Amino acid sequence: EIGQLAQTFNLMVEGLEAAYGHVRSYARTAGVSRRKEVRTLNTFQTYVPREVIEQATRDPKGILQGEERNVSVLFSHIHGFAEISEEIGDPEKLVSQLNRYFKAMVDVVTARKGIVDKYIDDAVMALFGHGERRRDDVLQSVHAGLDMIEAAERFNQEQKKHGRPEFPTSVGISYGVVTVGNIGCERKMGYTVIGDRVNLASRAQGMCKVYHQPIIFTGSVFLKLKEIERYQEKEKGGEAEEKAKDLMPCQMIDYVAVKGKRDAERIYTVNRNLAGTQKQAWSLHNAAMEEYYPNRNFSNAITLFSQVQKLLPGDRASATMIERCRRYEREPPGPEWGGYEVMKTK
Amino acid sequence: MSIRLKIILIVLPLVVATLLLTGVSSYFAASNGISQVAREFLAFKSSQLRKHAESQWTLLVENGLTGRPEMVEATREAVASYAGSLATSATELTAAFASDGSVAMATGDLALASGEQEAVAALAAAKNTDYLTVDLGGVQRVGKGFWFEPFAWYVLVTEERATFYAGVNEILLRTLIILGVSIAAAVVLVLVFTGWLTRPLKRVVGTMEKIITTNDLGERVEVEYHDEIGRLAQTFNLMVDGLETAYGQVRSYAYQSSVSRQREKRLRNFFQMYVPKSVIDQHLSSPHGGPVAENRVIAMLTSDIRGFTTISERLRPEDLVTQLNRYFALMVEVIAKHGGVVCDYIGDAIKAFFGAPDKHEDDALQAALSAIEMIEALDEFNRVQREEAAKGGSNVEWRIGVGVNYGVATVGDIGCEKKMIYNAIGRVSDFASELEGSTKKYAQQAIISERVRREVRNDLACRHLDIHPTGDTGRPTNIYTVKRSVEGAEREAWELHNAAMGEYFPGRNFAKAASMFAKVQKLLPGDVASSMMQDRCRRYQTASPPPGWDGAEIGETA
Repeated sequence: EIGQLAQTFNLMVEGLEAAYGHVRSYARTAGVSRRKEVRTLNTFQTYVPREVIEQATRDPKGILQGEERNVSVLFSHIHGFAEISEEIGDPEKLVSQLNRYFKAMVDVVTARKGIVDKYIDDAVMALFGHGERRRDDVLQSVHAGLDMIEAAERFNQEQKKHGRPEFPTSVGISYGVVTVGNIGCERKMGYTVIGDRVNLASRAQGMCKVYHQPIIFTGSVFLKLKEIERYQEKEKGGEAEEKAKDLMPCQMIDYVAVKGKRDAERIYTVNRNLAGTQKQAWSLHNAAMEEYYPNRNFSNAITLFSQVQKLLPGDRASATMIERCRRYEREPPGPEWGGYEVMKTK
Repeated sequence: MSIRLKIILIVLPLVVATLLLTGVSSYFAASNGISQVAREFLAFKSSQLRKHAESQWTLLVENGLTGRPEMVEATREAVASYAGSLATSATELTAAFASDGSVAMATGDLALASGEQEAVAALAAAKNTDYLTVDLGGVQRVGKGFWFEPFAWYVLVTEERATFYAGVNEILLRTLIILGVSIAAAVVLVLVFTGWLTRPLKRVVGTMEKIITTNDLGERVEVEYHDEIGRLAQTFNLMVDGLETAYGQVRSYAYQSSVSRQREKRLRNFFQMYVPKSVIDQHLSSPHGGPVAENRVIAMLTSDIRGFTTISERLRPEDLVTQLNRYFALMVEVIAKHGGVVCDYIGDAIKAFFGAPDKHEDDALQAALSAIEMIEALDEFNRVQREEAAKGGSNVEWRIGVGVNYGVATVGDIGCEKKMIYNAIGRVSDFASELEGSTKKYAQQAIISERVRREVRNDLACRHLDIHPTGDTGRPTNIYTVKRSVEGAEREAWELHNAAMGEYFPGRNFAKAASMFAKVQKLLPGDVASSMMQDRCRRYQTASPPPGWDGAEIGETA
């Protein structure tokens, strides 16, 4: 029996050895599979927002749907990117620089609790308030716009230092109802937003070049900003009234009807760090815009705009307005005049 | 050979040998003892008789009566009766023999057989005083004798051998019985005991074999005692525990592995909806990331839905997305069929490219064919739209514009860790968008660039629409619309139109061109492209373009 025992014992030990061998190899396989899964998920998440992935894994059928939401849409754009890319030449260098630029932009957006919806060549389209809604989404979007301009500045300093071309950046922001959803089909999906507010943001950004402003947003953004300020004022108990009011000094640039649309939008620019004279000038400018429309008091407007000019020599916005007021003084517009300029270009 | 047997083979002989030894030695001791006693008693009797005889004769001698025969006779009788009184058992016999062996006196009946007398005579002659065995009267006897001179007797005190040795025989019997019983008992005990010892061992072995044959790791061995076998059983159980755990782990890992693989597969399938498969594969195979950026010649296709903003305003978001997705499904199917990669949706616009990640000889042709088929697919889409509208839905027919260009673009993964897109950027892409944008102006559904035309002119029919001042290279470039083929009047019209374009530029024969365009108008009533060119030619007839004119519409800003 002892012999049998020894035999059986040996068999068992062999069995154990084999088993442990299997355990190791399976543990390895499991580890590899798990890592692969994580890797795929991580890679995926860089292309598609995480919440979309999560939702899709929960409910694969329900992803092709749309719903309406109030969001702030932000577009950033690099002027003359075609020329810049030709200047850089080498594709790897180009993409590497572009990626660095994008990283800076994306970091800003994420820091302000927004998400990057997509890149359109050199443009970044970001959304604020599309997921978890916060009261100050619009404020955050405007801050993000300004942050992006500052980040672009820093990026450009780096570029200059290394003898590389600068990426001049401008930002457009709009606010309103958009349709959010997974659009597309099984072969190709895109999680994005559609709606005319989206186009408006793009047009707003396009106007930066026309009006020589780094950032332009629409009237809906402005109204929302003021609303937030009032709300924050209330929160602070009213003592910081002055401070809150000047949180986001805005200057109304113009009143335009963008190409392809019937309705007109007021467009504004904004500056976080307004010095004393600038602040004053902006108040005057905004008052002058009132005189211009709806008051049609062109001479008053001109006076005010000229004061602005004195405070800010070379200020384009007021200069443009002076010209226009003079034009309307000479040829007063008809009664149907809506006070806005029709944009002929995108 | 089993352990039990071994133990039995060792222990049993030992036990039996011991028992036997003990039995035999005690038998011999006992039998010797008894024999000794019997003999000594015989000797005692013999010596007592002798003493008595001698004392009687001495009496005679002292009294000087030895000459008187009747006294001697009386003494003889006295000795004989004394001898008789010595007998303690019925089988004792004391006899005196003459020197010739004849019986002189006996305490019982005695008749010597023939040979016996001689034997006795010999003993008498030898005056034998030892213990001896002699046959007397046919009965074997044990005795001790002496020669008594005065009577000339050889006296023998005897006992029947059988009686003499009866005690011994009894002892022998008893010993044998005891021996037998104890050996039997020993055997039984050994058998039982070894069985009891080896049973746990058998059990362990049995369980082991069972586990090995049935591969059922749930079995354990009972630990009955804390001896080596008990420890063996314990250790065995531990080993089986170990094995069970190990197999459990194997199963769980295998399960995890398969679950992970499934999840990864599902994830990747979903992923492929958003990003081209080969891009994903590159990501997963290379350690640091996806495809490296490079300049490649690709065909870019951009499509857009006319007046989408207006359309979308009139729809509920669910309906909007539903219709949009139905539209996309059709369009993307076409593009995929021709080997294109849909890079992105920008609102209602589709951006796709052909030639990356995999390059083909006919990328431009495939892109152009896609454009044509997308327009054809739109008819299918609109048919459904009409059906839905008839049922009371808010569906309207859609119109699209498609632009196709061909050239070098920078292709690769663009973005940062948080957000990536596999994209193709460059003037090629921008110009494709422009072409698409100009479809409205020329009232065409698809417009391709000169570079595309060069690739497709043998396969598709092209109509020269205009000259774009900058194209994507900064130099003026021709733009065309395209169809699979044109027949009859349409074919004539297209050929005429193309010829007219030549007259327009570089021919500068505006009058001729205008009339040719007029003819095209007749062949294709309501044709916008030719009527536009006709007007332009008329204008340039009167206001001639400056020297160095590139053929593009003057005053047209790019």
